[in-house]
Amino acid sequence: MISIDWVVMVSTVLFCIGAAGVATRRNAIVALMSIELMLNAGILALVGASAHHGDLRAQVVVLFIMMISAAEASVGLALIATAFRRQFEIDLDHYSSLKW
Amino acid sequence: MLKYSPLITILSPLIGWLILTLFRSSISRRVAGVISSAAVAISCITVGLSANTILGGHPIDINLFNWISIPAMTLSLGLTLDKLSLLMGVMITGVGLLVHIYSIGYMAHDDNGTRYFSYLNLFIFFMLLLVMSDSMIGTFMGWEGVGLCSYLLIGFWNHNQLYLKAAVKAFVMNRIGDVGFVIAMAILAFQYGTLSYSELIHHLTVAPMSALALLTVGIGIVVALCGKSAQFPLYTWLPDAMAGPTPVSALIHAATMVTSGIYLVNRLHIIFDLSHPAQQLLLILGLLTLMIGGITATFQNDLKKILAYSTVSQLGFMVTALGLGWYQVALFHMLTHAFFKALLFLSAGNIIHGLDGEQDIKNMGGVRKLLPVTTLMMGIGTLSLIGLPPLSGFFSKDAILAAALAKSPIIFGILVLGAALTSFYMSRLIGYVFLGTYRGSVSHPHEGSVSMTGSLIVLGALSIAGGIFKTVFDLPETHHIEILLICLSLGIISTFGTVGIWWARRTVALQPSVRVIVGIDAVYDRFVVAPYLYFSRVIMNAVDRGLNHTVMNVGTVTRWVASGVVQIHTGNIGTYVILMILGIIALFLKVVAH
Repeated sequence: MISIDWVVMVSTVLFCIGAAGVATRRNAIVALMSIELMLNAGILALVGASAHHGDLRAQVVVLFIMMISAAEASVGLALIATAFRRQFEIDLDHYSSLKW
Repeated sequence: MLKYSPLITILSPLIGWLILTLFRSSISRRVAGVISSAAVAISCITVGLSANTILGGHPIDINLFNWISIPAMTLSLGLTLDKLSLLMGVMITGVGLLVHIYSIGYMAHDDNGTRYFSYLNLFIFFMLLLVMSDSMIGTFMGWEGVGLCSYLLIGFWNHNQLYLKAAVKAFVMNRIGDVGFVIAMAILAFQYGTLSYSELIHHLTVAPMSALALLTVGIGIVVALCGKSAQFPLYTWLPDAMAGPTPVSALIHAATMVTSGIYLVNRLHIIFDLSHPAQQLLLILGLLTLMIGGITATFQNDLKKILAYSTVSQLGFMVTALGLGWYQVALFHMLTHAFFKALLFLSAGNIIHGLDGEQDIKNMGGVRKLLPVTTLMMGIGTLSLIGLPPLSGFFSKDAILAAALAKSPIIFGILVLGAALTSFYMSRLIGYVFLGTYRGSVSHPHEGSVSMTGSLIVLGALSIAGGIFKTVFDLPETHHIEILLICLSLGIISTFGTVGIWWARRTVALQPSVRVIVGIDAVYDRFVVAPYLYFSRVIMNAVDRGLNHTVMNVGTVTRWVASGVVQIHTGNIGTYVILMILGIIALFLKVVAH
């Protein structure tokens, strides 16, 4: 049995990698993948905690999160596709007009 | 039914106004004229029906509601129909109805006729509120309302900048009078905790205020009267108010609104009975006004302005009667004046209408052949105004002269001089307009429509027979000097009438070489308007600019701060994510620190 500490540690590392990816990568699709990574880090933490406490309720929440992340991915991909069709560009730095 | 007659009387024109305002675009001006006339006719009938009861000594009171109820005072709104308000009500609705009917013909070609009739109805409502309210506060609401309607109707032809200026002038001059009204109300309310007329009169009889307070209230009311009833030194708005349509001049600026000051003094005459100096003030102002109005009228060449100055002068006669302590005499003259001055104005309206808007009497002449009915009516009005026995004007002026003779021969002399001036300027007007040959440019002058001529004839009959209302009033005994007064009137009329016509004959061909400037306006410009403008400029430079700078600087600083902060708002997703994560970490640290 793996201790909960390890699970949380892996989850944290995964989350940080995802966050760094969103912050630094310029490719929109990679950024989207990084967001998924952050979500999965959260899921992993929830599953670990569920096993640790012997409580299945957290795993129900996990199912919801997976569903939401699927929906979010589809919306995100659709946005990227539309943006690409308009401007032929998926570099996030290109899309910086939404500001003051 | 009779119990509610004040309510019906007052609401009927208000409903007329509401209908005409709400459906302004879908009602033609002819229908609007009929609706508004019907509304006033209902008021006229309800007032007339309750006349018997009231003259029998049973005033009708309706208490509507308590408006303000605090420990220091109670203000209730109610309506009352007693002898005084009945008289005013009959005059307002009667003359009002005739003017409404006349206006149907007069405004037949004006595109904004519906708006005009809605204002007229609103005016009748406020005027009735003024005279039928049972407290000063209700009267004050009516007082303000008629001022508003007067403003709206003077500036009715609002495409003309001069007319708008006249409207604003009338409005501002009236506000000066209102200050007096408010001061009088405030003192009375502070002293007695009520503004109801009956309670005020009761309190004043039982426990009068100090002489100084009474004088202050009296002066306040006199100032209010000077504004509304065009007395010296606030009368200058009235001649300018002739910019409005002529029926408006007849109704508002001759017959009804300008007499509200006379009404107010009659309501609260106990104050002037108690305060002798206030009464003296009324007397002096009245005498001054009647002379100034009469003298100025002799130099005017505008048909309506002559009549306007004549109104100022006649109001001076009424105020003189008030100052002599004969309040009922002033009311009697007010009633007959309403008849013959409305008649004169409406006849003048006929002439102006017939001559396509010509108002300069130098360009008229020989109108008697062109407009015979109007000529007859104007003649009746003139004879009544100059006091030919036994027309209505004779009886009322006669009563004022008799009251003055009993008091002092000097006042009597001034009044006779005023009457002589009246004969002179009116016969000069007749000589210019009706005698001689036609000098105008309009090729085919025409009489007005049936509604116009009909109203004139009714008013003409009232001007002839108005003397029969004599019995309603409490007038000085004149039997012993009756012959003297009749001879005096006939003497004045024949002498000065002839002089006036002779003068008209002599001067008709001359261009006016001297432009008579009415000094009082120049005085206002010099001592009120100019200092006011100077003061405004000082305020603008010192205070307004300073405030402006402060406000502008607040903006500048905000922009400067924002221009720094805005740098982190890059539009780049990566930056936002980093900032968000930093924020979350900061939050966590905060939680952990606790």
